[in-house]
Amino acid sequence: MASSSKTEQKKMLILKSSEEEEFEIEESIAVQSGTIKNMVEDDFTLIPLPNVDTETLIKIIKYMKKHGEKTKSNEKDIEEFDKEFVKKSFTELKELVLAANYLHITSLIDLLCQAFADRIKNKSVKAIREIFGIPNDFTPEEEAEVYEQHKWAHEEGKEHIDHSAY
Amino acid sequence: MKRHQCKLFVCEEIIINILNRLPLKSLARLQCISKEWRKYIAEIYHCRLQWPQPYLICFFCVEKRLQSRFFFSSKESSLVIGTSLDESVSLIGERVYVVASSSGFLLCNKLKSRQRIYYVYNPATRQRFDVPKTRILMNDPRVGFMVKETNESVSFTIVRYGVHRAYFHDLYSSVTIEIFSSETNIWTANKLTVDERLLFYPYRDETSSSSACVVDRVFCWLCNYPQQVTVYDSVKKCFWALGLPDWTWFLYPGYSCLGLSGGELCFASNGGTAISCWRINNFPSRNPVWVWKYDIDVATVVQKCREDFGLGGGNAPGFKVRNMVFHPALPDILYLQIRSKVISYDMKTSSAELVHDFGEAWRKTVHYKLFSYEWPQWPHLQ
Repeated sequence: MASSSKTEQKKMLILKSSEEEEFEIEESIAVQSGTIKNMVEDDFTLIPLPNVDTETLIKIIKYMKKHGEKTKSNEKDIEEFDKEFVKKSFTELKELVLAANYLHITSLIDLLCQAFADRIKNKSVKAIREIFGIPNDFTPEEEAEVYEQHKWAHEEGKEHIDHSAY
Repeated sequence: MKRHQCKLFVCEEIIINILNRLPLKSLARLQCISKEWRKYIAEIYHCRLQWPQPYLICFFCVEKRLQSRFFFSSKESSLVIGTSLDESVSLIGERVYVVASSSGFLLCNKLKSRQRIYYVYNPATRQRFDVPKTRILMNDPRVGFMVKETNESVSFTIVRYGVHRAYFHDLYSSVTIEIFSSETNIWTANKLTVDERLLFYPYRDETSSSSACVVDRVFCWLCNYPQQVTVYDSVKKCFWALGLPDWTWFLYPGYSCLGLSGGELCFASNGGTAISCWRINNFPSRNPVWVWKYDIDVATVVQKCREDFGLGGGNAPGFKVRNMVFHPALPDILYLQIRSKVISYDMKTSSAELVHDFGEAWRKTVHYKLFSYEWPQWPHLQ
């Protein structure tokens, strides 16, 4: 009886990345993802995630594991973890945020978006276009007009604008 | 198998999530990025307008006409991003004090200009309009400020009137009024004959907008003696007086306030032990009726605040409240300046919240004037 309740508590799931690699994870931790939770409710134990590559999945699992063991006492610890977690390149962050979005992990989405916001706050328009891969669809006249309308925002403190796309 | 390139395109939901966390100044710059981003940023503003708990954001405090400071309330603020305040808002670089605010614009008076030089300024967009010098020199005029917005542009009107300090036995029968309209760009002055019963006795220190407001082109000011609301209807071009609901012992600045909140004219008076709040909802009809709303037991509030916010003890709690101002959209909320802290008091639920701590000795804050400043959107000056 004791052993059966033990296995029941620690129900394991298998997450499969887009590259067909499989990772075992406790169900109680995996359900931090809304998407996974839904699939579990439909009785899946093998969860294919064709939108998430291996590298990203590993990071996400790490995040979920850390946040799965959240208690009142280790809040500071988790904060530190989060801080370190977002110290990644923009490419990695983009992969992560897309995966987090697909997996519906709200706390991770918020963490990542905040990290983006903090990092792009003072970046130049050109740098941000590069980071997000956004083509400029303004004509030069239109762009000049928009610039003029908010000239103060561009001029004030322009020496602090960061032009790097990293 | 690596994912294909187009996955690196971040979806709309996420972009908006990120943009919502940026300070206004960054948002203003990023409108240049692409037409889509411009649309997103406009959408963010539109969303902020729809917040049910709106957007009273900040206060100005004016220290003895020497310096104006600008600070924000901590919650319900569209300027709170994540957990920190948007610091990209700033006050005009001149030496001014703030006289009034309307729709996100401030009316400031240049120091040492004998109250003849005014600026209209938007602290978020840094738009500034230097008003031409007034034609008339007035001694401590009452000033009213109103901004009107359409989708395309913004226009404003400034009204100022002065009373000649006549002899004690004289009945004030004429008042000089000067009006500036941004549409004509000039000041026009008029001498008006008013009913002899309307005696005007201005406040000594007019720098607080918690004694003035504008409803529908009708300007109102709290009057010290006699105790009334002096009203100027800029459409009908006449003055009249509105009686106050409560005879108060003191109408010193800070002990009563008049404001427009949620479209209703509200009045509060601090009698020392209780603050009474009244409202009119059919202003500016000629027969408005004041409806009593709440009595705030000051002692309880101060006591509570002492426990929650460390406001210090002492007697006469009523007199600890130095300034009051209504929330511009929610008439059940009154902001009180108690010693060197600003508290928001919800009269409906009898709950208090600390909004700001000046962090200074009480005696230094004694002359602060508070007024509420609301910030609905980014209007464009003309």
